[in-house]
Amino acid sequence: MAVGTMKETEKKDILILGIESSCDETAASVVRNGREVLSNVISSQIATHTVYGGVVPEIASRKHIEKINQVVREALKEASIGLKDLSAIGVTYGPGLVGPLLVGVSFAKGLSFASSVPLVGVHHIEGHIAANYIENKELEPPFPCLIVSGGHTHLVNVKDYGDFEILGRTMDDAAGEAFDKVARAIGLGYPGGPKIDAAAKAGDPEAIRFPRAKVTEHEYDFSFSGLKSAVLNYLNSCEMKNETWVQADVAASFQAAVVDVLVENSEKAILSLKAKRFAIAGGVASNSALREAIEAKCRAHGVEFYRPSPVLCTDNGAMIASAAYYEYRNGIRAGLDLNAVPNLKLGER
Amino acid sequence: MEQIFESGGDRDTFEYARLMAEKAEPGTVIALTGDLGTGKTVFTKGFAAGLGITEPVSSPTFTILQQYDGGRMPLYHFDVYRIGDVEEMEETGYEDCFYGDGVTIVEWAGQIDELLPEKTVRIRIEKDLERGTDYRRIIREDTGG
Amino acid sequence: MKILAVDSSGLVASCAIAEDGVLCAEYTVSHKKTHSQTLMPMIAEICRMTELQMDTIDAIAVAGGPGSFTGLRIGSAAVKGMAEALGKPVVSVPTVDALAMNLFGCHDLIVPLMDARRNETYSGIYTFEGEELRVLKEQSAVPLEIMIAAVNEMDKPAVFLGDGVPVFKKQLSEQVKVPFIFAPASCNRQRAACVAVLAMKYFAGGKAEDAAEHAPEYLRVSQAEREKQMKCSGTAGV
Repeated sequence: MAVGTMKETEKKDILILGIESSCDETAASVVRNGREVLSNVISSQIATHTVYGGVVPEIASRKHIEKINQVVREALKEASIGLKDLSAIGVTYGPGLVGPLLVGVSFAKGLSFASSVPLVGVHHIEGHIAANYIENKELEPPFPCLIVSGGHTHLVNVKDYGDFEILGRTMDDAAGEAFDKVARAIGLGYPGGPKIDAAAKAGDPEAIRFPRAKVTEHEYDFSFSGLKSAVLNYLNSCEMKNETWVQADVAASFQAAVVDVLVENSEKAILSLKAKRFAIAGGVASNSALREAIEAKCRAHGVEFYRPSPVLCTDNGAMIASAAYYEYRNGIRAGLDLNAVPNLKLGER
Repeated sequence: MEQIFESGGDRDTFEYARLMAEKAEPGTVIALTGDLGTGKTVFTKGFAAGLGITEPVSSPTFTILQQYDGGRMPLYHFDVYRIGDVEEMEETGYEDCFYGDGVTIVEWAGQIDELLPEKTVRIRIEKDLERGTDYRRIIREDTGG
Repeated sequence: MKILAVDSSGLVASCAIAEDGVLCAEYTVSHKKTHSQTLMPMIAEICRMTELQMDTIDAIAVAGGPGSFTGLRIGSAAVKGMAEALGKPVVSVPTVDALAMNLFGCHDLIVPLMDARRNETYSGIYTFEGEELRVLKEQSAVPLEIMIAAVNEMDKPAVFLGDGVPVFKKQLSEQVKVPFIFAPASCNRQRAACVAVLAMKYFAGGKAEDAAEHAPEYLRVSQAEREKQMKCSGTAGV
């Protein structure tokens, strides 16, 4: 447990411990006043001790319950604070996988109860959006935001802190997932996104014209499974015809198709909402082609473009602490009956 | 005993699954296997429609499990593509689904074969490029009496 | 010695506060698996009703496995959170041992049977010698027939308890050759009081762990694991 307390004069600052445990990562972070990160600990990036006392580098695994105490301890220690310095504990309670969510939520409830620090539940995607508040101190709602990750693809209108409207979402595969599957199909391995991003730099995005799927009933929605199939069909037909395909070209052409669709819907949202600002978030937000394309589109429309740094794009506790700060300021508190909700809807309270 | 259904593409696969869902009983576990792009999620969408679920069914590759409650019984949609070690399934609460009162569909079920209940409907979807890129052969085998 | 104990290994949600030879509070509910929502409020309630000063607890005990993966995770994570906040150690008590504790003083074979699905059971065989709980067969996850064979082999009267009893009743009546009875409702399911009592013994014997080290013991050795273990012992690295 961390030792050390804040000076009395600084107590007016609001310190939040954010705990994220919704899928692969166990992460914890202390954030001051919603924007200033005092510590950011992510389990896949710290060494852990084995049962026998040795230290081994941690490969991403999903043993959340084995790591959560260390991660929280480390976060408090790095921030040089103790539990009693916290104004609240924020924890992801959905969406995600039920096992990891339950570990985070149950742990946070136990921590909150025994330390008498108030508890706030946070929606994972609202966390991703909040990563932009950390990165860009001056950013305030309203603004449309594109959240793209392995598990989610959403276009959201952030009307105010805690007030969201979903404009569009994926009808089938998430963009990040399409990256992973295509990467595997063309022999690039895991993680697919960064690998395709790198390989595409040497490839020709116009080499193969893959389909840019439109979802006719809902103009802001996305669909990537057709694109995935198109890539697979292309590879199969090359094999059938005994033709070779160029990995870099397939990567670049696939990536271009994904980016085109994401950019097109984002542009529609910007114009329709007459937005002055636009943000992206989520793991795929660190894809260079996507960032460049959206940034260019924003520049063309005179719109401010925001995105988090790569470490805040992937799952982390700081974004949860930030989102929790705004919930806390809005007077929202969770009770000890807070439950994990694997399919929690954006904006659901 | 294997039953074979020949599908001309997504629409046929969807319809096949939809009809199966209309007759499905609580506690059914369906193990779906087949390569990338064979239409496992399309099958699941059809099945969901057959249960009366209107919410869009998206791929649970990253989240491993998505649950849909809007139909005549719960649908637990697993995608265990990312499961490297069977132990990781413990995180998913799969026991409550497999032995619960809804229908469970497991995509890439081959990865967790030993966890499947004795009574499982095994569905394998295969491509046959000689018959065209859209053609699929759906092979069903019900195990465990 | 004061112990706060939690058991969420099965359908039952239970928590208790015990101080030396006295059970100050116990809250046990067996109704649907909503532990994720009900357990923490139940713990808060008994702390409130006993006006518990949480820093006076010596340790927090938990039924550490086997049991429902989800249930165990909820209990262990809650305990790890509380222990972290208080700087107290965690005592992990084997679930089946705690079940056996229900029948304190019984000199017959005590056989808890938890339903582990697929006709398997989390079970063990125990008895009491004076005050001491003796483990005759350690808790494990096994097919029911194995447990029945073990009981038959020990050839002594037995008492069965646990949520596996209704599931296995038919097979028990057909295959168990020794005289047996079923424990009644007052003592046939998990109770945090039993976890607390065993935890006091463990704690006194130095068997506690830092909250960071504690994790549930699922006891499931899957086929893949067995094969992996066999491969590892045969080859030099994978």
